[in-house]
Parts: sequence; C-alpha cells; structure tokens
Amino acid sequence: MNPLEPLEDDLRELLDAERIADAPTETDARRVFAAVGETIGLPLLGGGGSQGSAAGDPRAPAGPPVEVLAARLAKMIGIAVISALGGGIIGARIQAEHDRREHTPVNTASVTSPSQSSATPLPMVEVATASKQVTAPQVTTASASVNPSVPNTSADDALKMERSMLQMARVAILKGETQSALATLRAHETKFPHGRLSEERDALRIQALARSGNQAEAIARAERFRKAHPGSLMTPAIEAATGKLERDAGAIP
Amino acid sequence: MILVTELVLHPQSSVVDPQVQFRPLFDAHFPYVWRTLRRLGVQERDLADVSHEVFITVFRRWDDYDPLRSIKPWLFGIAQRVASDYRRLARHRREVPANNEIEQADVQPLPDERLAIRERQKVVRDALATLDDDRRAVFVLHEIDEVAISEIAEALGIPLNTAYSRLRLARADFRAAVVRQGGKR
Repeated sequence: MNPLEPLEDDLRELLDAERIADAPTETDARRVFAAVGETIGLPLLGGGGSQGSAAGDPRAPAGPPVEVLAARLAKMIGIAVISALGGGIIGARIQAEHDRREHTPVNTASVTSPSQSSATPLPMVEVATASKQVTAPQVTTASASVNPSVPNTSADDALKMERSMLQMARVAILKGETQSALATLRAHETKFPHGRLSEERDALRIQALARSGNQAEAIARAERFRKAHPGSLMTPAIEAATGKLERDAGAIP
Repeated sequence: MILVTELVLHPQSSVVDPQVQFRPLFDAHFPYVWRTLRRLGVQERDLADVSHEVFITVFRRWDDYDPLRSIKPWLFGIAQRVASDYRRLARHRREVPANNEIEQADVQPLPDERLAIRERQKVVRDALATLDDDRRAVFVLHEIDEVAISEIAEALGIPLNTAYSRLRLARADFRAAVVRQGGKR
C-alpha cells in the first residue's frame, strides 16, 4: 500500500554523501563510554573504543559483580550460541578447546622470556593464568602483547566480550540487519584483531556480506578464508552462504 | 522456534545483564548514535555530551527494548528526544550557531572529492535542520538509515499512513530546502 515514488537521483546522491559522514574517533568513543560508566556508577565491561577498561580500573569496586554476571552469561551462551549459525559441533569443539586450555598447567618459563613472548603470541588463557602466578614484569608485557587493544582486560573477560559481540552480530544476521551485524563485526575486529574467535568472526562476516547482497566481497573473503583456514569447521556454513554466489560468478564449478 | 541466541539476548530474560551487553551494544552503535545526533541538529562540539546522555538513557531503558525488533529505530527514538531537549536548551541559551560546523571541524586542505562530499553533507544537514521534528525523524530513518516505513511506524507509535504522509511532506520540505541552498537545480 501507499507506494512511494523513488527519490530523485540528485537528492539520492546528496543523501549518499551524508550516509558516509565521518564517524566519531576512538578518543570520542573512549571518552563517552567512560563518562557513561561513571554516571551510571557501574563497572562496565571494558572501555569504549579499543582502549580503557573498567575491569582493570583501580577505581572499580572490588569483587566486581560484572565477572559473576559475565560468567553466568558466558555459561548460558556457551556452546549453544556459538553453534547457532556455525553448527553444533563447531561450538562444542571451541568450548572444549577453551576448557582444555583453562585446565592445562602453565609453563611459566615460556612466558618469562621477553624475546619469546614478543615474537610468538601466546594463547591468552595461558598468559592470564601465568600473570596470576608470576608477578615478573615480563609477564605483564607478554599479557599486553597478546591483545594490545585491551591492555587491562583478563583473557576470560576478553573471551566473554568476544562471545557477546559475536552473539550480537549473529542475532543481527538472523534478523536480516546485515549492516548492524557488519558494524558489530568491524568493532570486534578492531578490539580483537587476533582474538580467539576471529575465525568465527570472519565466517560470520562472509555470511553477513552474502546476505547483504555484497556478493563480490563475500566471494573474495570466502576464498581467503579457505586459504587461511583449510579444513575449518566453519567451511560448510560459508559454503552454504556463498556457494550459489560463487557458482553464479563462475568461481567454482 | 525461539533460537537460543534470541532467548539469551532478550532483555526480560534473567540471564541478561546490561553490564555485560552494554559494551558490545555501545561499540556497535556509538557511531550510528553520533551521526544521528549530528543529523538531528546537535553541534559538533556537543556531540560527545549529548551522546553520553543518549547512552545513559539506553542503559536505563534497556528493559524496554524488544530484541526481536530492529534496534536502530529504538536508538533513534531516544536520540531524537535527547536532541530535542538539547535544542530547546540551546535555544534558551541563544547559543545555536546558524550553521553546523563542518567547515570548522576540519581546517586541513581537502582533496577535491572529500571537499565535494563535505559540501554535500552540509547541504543535507542544513536542509534537515529546516524540517519539522516529526517529519525529520521519518525522513532520516527511511532515506538515510534505510529503515522500512512499517518498522518506523511501529517504532514511533504512529499509524502507517501517518508515517507515509510525514515522509512525503518531509521529502517535499527537504527538496525545497535544498533548492533554496542552490544544491539542486
């Protein structure tokens, strides 16, 4: 009902320019997020943008309820959330791997060597566990080098944040809000460029791109994904999202 | 069937806590809120303060959000009310500049293309500033944010025909404002 005539081309061009208006800076994001946390009086998880973290903020109240709540949410999300789009077995394996790492004894010698820690990124959980046991400055350096964008956030908090962000993206894809999903995935990439769920992020991005109609980028990223993650458990989900596009484009027979 | 993902994100669910969800929500939508406020007439220098107000409201009203609906109109509604208060107060203080601050925000020489984009953005924002608040809301949500009219009507709590009517009127007003600026022949 009530069909609208399309907007004139020249007005459309004007609005296209506004659509790509400058985004706020990281500094803006940090400042506003910090102000919101302060006003609310709650230890929000992390700071706005890619910096600042209430989790490591000495002004944050002791015994933070955030960790309890985040743990509860993480448990609820757990395997089920990860498997919602990527397949149950994928979530189960990621969760199993996470659990295995959490219970693996830490070789503290491996994180007390500055040269090694700077050259080889260490699994975040191992570093975080080590930092609880060893107070040498090198460990702190190693911890920061794992995820420089979240310097004061523990590995577990980081994983919870990752899960939560991907959760939002996944729901947005399910609801057809692909631009919102892509924005969330970009935010995840900025914050966790080498996060433990980056493989899943890349897979979700391909799905979002395919659903948004951005076929060329979806196909290109799918190709890169296969090379970067041969035998990935996410591959079937990606092929489901892009298979027809690639066949139409002649990329695969 | 309700997916686990939806259940977990539902505000009324006891497992959800805004402290946990606020961070990704903020990260994902802060740029949108920032740009929206700018389109609603908030000056560059005040964007941080007004964004802060918006997210305080978002945090406090999180229980009102229905995650089965698009979040943009919900955020827009909050931004619109906060921006409206801001404009009213700014008017009382007689501090509303005649134009937005696109030129002042960047004094560096711009390549031609960027300059052209900036000029178009200024035309759009100046034209938006002339629109009635209700019409501008529908226009921005539909023409810039690409939200469906039915969703806009639902989010704003207005009949569908009213939403269409406002959009038509807003288009006419916007077109006239652009012509007045010489942005369209």
